[in-house]
Amino acid sequence: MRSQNLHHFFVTAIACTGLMFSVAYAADSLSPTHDDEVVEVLPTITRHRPAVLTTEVSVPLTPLAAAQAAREDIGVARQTGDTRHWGRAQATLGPWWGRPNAPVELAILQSTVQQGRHEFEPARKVLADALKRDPGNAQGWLNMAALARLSGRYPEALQACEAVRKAGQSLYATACELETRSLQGQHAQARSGFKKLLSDFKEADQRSWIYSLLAESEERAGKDTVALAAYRSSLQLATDLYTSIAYSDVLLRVGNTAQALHVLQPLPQTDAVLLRQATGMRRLGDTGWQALRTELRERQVALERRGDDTTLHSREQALVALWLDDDPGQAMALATRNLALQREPLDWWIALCSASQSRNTAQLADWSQKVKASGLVDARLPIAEKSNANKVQGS
Amino acid sequence: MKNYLLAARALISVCLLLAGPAMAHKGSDAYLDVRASQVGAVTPSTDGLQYKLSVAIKDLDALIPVDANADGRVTWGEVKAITPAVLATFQVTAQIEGVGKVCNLQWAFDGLEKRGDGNYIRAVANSPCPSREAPRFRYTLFRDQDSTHRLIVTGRIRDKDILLTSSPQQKESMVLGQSDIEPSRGPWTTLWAYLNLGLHHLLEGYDHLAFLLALVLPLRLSLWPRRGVQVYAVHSQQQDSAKPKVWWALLRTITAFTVGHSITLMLATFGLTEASPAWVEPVIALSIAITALLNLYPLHWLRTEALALGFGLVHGFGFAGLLLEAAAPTGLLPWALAGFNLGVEAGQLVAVAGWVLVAQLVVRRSWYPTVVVKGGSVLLILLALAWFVQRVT
Repeated sequence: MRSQNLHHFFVTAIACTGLMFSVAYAADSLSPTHDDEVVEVLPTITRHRPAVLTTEVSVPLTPLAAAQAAREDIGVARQTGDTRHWGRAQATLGPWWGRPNAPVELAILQSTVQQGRHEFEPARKVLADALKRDPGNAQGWLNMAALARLSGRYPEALQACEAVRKAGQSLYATACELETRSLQGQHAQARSGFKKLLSDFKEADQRSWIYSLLAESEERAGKDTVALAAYRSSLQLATDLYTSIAYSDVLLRVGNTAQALHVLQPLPQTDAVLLRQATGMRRLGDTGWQALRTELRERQVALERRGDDTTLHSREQALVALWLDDDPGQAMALATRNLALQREPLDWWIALCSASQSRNTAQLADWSQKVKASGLVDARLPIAEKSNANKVQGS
Repeated sequence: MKNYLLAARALISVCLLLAGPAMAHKGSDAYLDVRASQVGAVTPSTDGLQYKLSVAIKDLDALIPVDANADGRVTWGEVKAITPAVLATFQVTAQIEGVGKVCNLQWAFDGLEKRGDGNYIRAVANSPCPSREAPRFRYTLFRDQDSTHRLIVTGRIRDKDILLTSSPQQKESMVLGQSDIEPSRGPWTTLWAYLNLGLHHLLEGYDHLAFLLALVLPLRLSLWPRRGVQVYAVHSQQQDSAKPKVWWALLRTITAFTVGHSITLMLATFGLTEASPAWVEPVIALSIAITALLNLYPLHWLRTEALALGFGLVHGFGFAGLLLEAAAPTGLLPWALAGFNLGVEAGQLVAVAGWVLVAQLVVRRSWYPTVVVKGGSVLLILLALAWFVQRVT
């Protein structure tokens, strides 16, 4: 059945790629001159390789070893933004992938990989099934809460947080609840709660994580200066791609463009980073942004050519339309598609900005209403509703 | 429990990324480019394909220790040292199928290249056994290492652009381009398909055409002889021939050539004899030169029909090579052979008819024997010798 699906998928993919004949995929030759010349920097140091290279059959991993290897790949994928590591994690989990009787631990990792690739609905299904088999799995419930928040289903997220508590992880359960309640507008409660957690958690990466949750909460509370300080504290404790991008977003939003570019500069050149760099450069009058815009377009074509589902990247595409192409109409169409996938504050922000700039009052009212219905309270959204084209959103 | 918590925390510490805005690079791609290795090949039988495969260094490192000292940085020296292992891996994971071991691609290192998402190792291979069938390519690299790895295939086969995306997880090998001949067919479709193949081969194979021209050049084939104009053949035996005799000579010559190449074509197709293109191709070139030379210095004891028959045998081996490459289905071989032969004959008739029409412009000129026959023969000799040198070296 899977093979049939795969076959169908490729037939479709091949048909679609026919449209892309005109795109050149040139490669430049490299001619190293001496043996010490570095010709590639790897995203990670490979620790495990298959023992036999040239046989068709590889030695199967034990579930424990597979879980360990998959976690490593998930970590690399997140830190470097290099999508190929999601594929590697999937291959590692291959013997158990999609199996209803897979060990719960591995099923949760599968859903993590799917989530990382923005396949949120399949991820939720796999996770729900795993939690049915092992209702005491704290990690599973934490992931479930994250998926629920991502879709704007806050009551469901709170239930998942409660399950984390029942599974005996009260500190993580508290963080889970505070984050959810902050989204629902309880910013002051979240602030004091996160501060208490900062003293409860001892390790740097835990504290870095809580600082980033606090920073996001302060952004929603409309306290950008406090948020910026919290982002800095988080990044001082541990470097993190996601947090760095979120930090640069505040800087771009408050008009501190040079600082935003400074934060983005050392990050891996993911599409999310590239589009923000282009935005910053454009606002500073640096014509170099156009080359980055072209690069983003080429990457999009490369994704389509691989047969990837590019609708999973509607959020970035909408931002490109909004920030780089001055095409709020297109941004609105992309935002609509994106809201079917995810409904985080940023997704609503993009939607409201695009509707406002398109002067589509009906759509604006409809989305406004939906934000209210979801229970999301975010100080940035009323400003987005009044945003004008090409205007940097003020704090 | 403690271990579990540690693992859990490692995940949780980056848990927020799950919903993050970070849209990453694309997944891992390898690139295969397939096109004719030499443009303007002499005959379709030498029209081989060249394959170029580019694989990311960072992907290869997951399978083979490219980064030998495990410092996260791959040097040119490390690449050179690991190249044999990389090529050995390509040998079993990127291969054409259904052609037998002898016809396997032999991958060779072709350099490094820079692409959007990193640097790649490029390997090259020429298909050792050219085929009229569309090649079937099997790709299984990283099948067990990366579920989202893709092979992007580009190139040009038989004047058609190809653009395919495939996965190492695919069960079936991929077909690169379209076959000249459809695989499933009955006797009549086989006959028709091979008739076309034979016809095209003769009309496109300019060495066969040149040989035919050398044979018929001395025949003054006039369609509308005017009274008082002496029409004769310039060849030795036909010095004083009347018009019907010229056409009879043409028929005998063409038939002799046909009988000749039909014999060897059949023998070779049924596997009773075989001949290496290494000598057949140069000898075909020589046959043109010799025939043209005999137009300049006729040997009275050598009949044109004998010449056509003898060299026809050699040309038959040339046709046979093509027919074997076209991989005629065994059960339908007689039909394929008959069709191919008919196609070659039809091609000959078309070619000779064409020449007769063109020749009408000059055939009654007094300078026909000198300018057309002798001058044309000299040109054919030079051309044939050039082909000969090209095919020997």
